[in-house]
Amino acid sequence: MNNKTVSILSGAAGILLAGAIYTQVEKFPEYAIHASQYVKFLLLVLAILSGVLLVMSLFGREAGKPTWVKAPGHFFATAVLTILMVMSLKYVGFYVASAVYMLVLALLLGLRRPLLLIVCTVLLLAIVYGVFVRFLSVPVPLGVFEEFTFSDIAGSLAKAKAAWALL
Amino acid sequence: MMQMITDAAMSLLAPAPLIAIFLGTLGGIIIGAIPGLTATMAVALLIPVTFGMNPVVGLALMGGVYSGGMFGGAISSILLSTPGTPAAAATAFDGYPMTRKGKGGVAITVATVASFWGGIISTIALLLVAPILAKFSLRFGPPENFLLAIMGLASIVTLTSGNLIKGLISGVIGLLLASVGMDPIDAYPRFAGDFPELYEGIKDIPALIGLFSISQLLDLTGEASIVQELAADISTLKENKLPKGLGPTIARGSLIGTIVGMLPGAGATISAFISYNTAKSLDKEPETFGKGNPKGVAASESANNGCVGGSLIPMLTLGIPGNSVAACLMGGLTINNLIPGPELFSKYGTITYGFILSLFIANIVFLFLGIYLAPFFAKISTAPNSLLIPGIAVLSVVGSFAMRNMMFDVWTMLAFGFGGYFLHRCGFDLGAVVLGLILGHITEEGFGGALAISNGSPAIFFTRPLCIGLWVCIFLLLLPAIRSRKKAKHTVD
Repeated sequence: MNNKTVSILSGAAGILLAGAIYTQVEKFPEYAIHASQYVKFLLLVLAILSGVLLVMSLFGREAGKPTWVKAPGHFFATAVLTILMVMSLKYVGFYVASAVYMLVLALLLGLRRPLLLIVCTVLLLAIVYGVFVRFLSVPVPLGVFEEFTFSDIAGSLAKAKAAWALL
Repeated sequence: MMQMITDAAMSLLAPAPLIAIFLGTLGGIIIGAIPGLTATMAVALLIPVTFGMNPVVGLALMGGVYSGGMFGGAISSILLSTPGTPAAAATAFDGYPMTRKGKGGVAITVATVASFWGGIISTIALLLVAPILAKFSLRFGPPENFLLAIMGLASIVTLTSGNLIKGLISGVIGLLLASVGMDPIDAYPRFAGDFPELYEGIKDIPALIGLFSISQLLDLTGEASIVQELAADISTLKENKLPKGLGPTIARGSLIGTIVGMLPGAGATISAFISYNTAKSLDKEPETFGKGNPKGVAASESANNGCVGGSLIPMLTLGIPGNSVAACLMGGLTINNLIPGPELFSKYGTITYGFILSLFIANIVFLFLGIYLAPFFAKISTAPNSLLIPGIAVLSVVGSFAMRNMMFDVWTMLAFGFGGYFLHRCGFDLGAVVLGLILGHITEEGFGGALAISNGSPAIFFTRPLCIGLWVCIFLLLLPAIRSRKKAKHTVD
């Protein structure tokens, strides 16, 4: 697919998107006149601009091809692992998910310095704990480790196991 | 007044206030540099902490966090293309390309000096002419705010380096995304579906982190390190000499920041974009912007730090905070029984002037910290991407979650990241999307509010004196960009 085709498809997609949103706006209740007017105006502008892009691309010249992904292996590894990490937050919590994510992704991306990787992972998680959790009292998702305490590791792990069973 | 200023200066020359300013500024820089953590959050959390303190020390601590936080946003924006705060989004346009060229140290030095002057000039305005400027800011109503947002949106024309139509479409996409959630007049939840999290709209921070950080991170998977054009001599990284000819850009940006900062609802982000747009429009080589021109960094940073003093002008004199941080600071004042108004500058003059003077010291503190630490910060850009990518992703996740403690925001961040990556690959401008998203609320509120005042007549946008002045400014800002595009087209033909 070359740049010209991408622009033609983008223009067509813009018009379709404007039309699709317009049908949703038409369903707004009558009292929400202000809510719909502004969006309708934006959709009109989007449709006009997309139309102009479509016409210009059809009759104009655009050289070259877009590079969708530079290194497919690294790209998909990053994308898939990032999604998996976010999905796992609910279950294993931020610290476990992030530690595993950092170690695995860095190795997949080609880092071959295990000591540096472990030090950086621990340091980053320590910073998050120090700045976010301790200093600013911003919680992070803890998943099954919600009630974990270092004073009672065995008990905490049992609670985590029970929480996991509930999930 | 002079006696009160002298007394205030003396009250600051003690170990406790000076330590408070230093720690506040340092903490602010760290918080500002971490995506998702904002100065608003830090100042709000400090209010109960400072309750038992001497008011001068407590306010100096909060002022330091505010100044440092506004500057800190530039560091991650320049080095990782991940704005620590929305106000630093425009800094990434030229700061990150500078890092890619191995000039991260210079970019941070430019940001430090520009932020310093922005902060100093706006604090001078706060100290000397606050009451007069506060009255001026009251003349800004919904129509003027709408035109101010239009002035910010006009940046799309100068911001877009490729296909202008795609740039404009990107801006409209941003405005449409900003329309998600309850509209400001009818309070009807638009496009929220079954997600109550969307009733308040799409939050700026997760969207910004996704568009800038995650999409950039996916792009970096194809490269070994961020720095692409480092000269043979690695010592160029340590170079942090300030480029010449930045004075007028910094002075202009500082004034824009001060004026826009004191307008309630406008804030640092819009001022940074207006300043960037102005600098590019007035420059002899506008085509170098977006490719690593230090003037782009200077324009954006002087304006967003100019907002620090600007936002405090209506807060201290009228009790109307210019932005959310100023609102939190007002909480810090009232908790000490300091009610904004004339009494702050007479009965409680020593404390108020002490607070204002502490902002000068905070600016000096981050000037030294920024210049001294710039080469060390710049080394981050040479770290292997295999280490940076997972690290940035983890910080992006926690930063998105931190705003409302909601997983929904983390998914929003990812959606914007992947969507932004492919939009960019199709030739659309992510900066324009961000601009539309951030300014969308102000645009709609101003537009709807103005028409409500005028009973639906759009003439209100063309008859008020300030509106006419703003239209002239918009036209003058757009003129050079349109001319240079026509010139470029002629050259190509």
